[in-house]
Amino acid sequence: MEIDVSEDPLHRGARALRERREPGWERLSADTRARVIALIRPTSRILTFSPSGEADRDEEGSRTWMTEFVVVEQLQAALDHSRSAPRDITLSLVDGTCREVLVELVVAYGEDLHAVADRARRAASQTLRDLLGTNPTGAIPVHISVVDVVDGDPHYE
Amino acid sequence: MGNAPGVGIQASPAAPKSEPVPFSDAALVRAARLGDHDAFALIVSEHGPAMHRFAARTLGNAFDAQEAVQEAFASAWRDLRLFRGDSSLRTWLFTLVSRKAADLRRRRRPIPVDDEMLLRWAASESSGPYEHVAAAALVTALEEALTELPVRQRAAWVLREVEQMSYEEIATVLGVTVGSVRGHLHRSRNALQERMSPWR
Repeated sequence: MEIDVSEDPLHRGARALRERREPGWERLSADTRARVIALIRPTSRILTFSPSGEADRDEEGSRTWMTEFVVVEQLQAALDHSRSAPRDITLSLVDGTCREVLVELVVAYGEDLHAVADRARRAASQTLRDLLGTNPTGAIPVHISVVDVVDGDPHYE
Repeated sequence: MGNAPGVGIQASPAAPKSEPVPFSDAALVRAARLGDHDAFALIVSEHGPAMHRFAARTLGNAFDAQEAVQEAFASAWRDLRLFRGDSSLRTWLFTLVSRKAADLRRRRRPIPVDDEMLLRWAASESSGPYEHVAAAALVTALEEALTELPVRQRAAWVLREVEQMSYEEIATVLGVTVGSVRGHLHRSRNALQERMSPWR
């Protein structure tokens, strides 16, 4: 490192600290990522139903549940598009069943926002049917809010 | 999107971690909040080195610094849904690591302040710091000087002078008022100027 002895030593020291990477960062970074992957976020469970709208259970009465996290993750995948990306997905749960879904979307500038919202709603509804079955109270409403329009790829902005 | 479905953010293992991440923080948070581990890995790569630096300077202990950073990122992953962008992602992450560092300090046995440190430096000056000017030695001296400061002063100085945060950001990270930040910085600068005077 070049040393300019005319510069205030505190400024020199601060700059040297700023430019330095702490020893052990690579290992710490890998350990941190591994730890995060192993972490389970707090999540609620959601009851699933058969295609006919019956509670999904076997002969012995066991029922099938999905965690909220799994449903959100799958909705994320279904809603991702080159010109739009979900910012947030909220499931409204009552007594362990999903009653409605709120989706916040970021959309690229120039897109037909209504068409984007319709496409997202259809994709979300299909995913919900695939994962949770046929809800006896009817199809789960999916509400779409376009919360931002960005100039460029919504995945980067 | 990467290994996680649908997010579209792929961490590149070949890319040097010091290079700027091409995604905005907002995009990374959005993806990570919905479960994308690759996006979160990019957040770790982008902000982790500075958080590690801050934790190491304020805790003065490499093991504790690593623990504070890991704990901070674990909290960030669990609580990303609570992050609404009122502050920048960087400020929020530094706030988390600052709190984790404070927790560790409370659990750790206090390290007595060594009042003789300045005298040792004064003695070492006779061997001529100007004759052995080296960034490593300067940094070592500065790190030792920092350990003598009260923790809030130390943290405020590091956040301002090393991480170049605004007074408002520092206040958020440390959970104090801007006026308090000004006071901590004034005192820390005076103390460090005195401690580092042999290096002028």
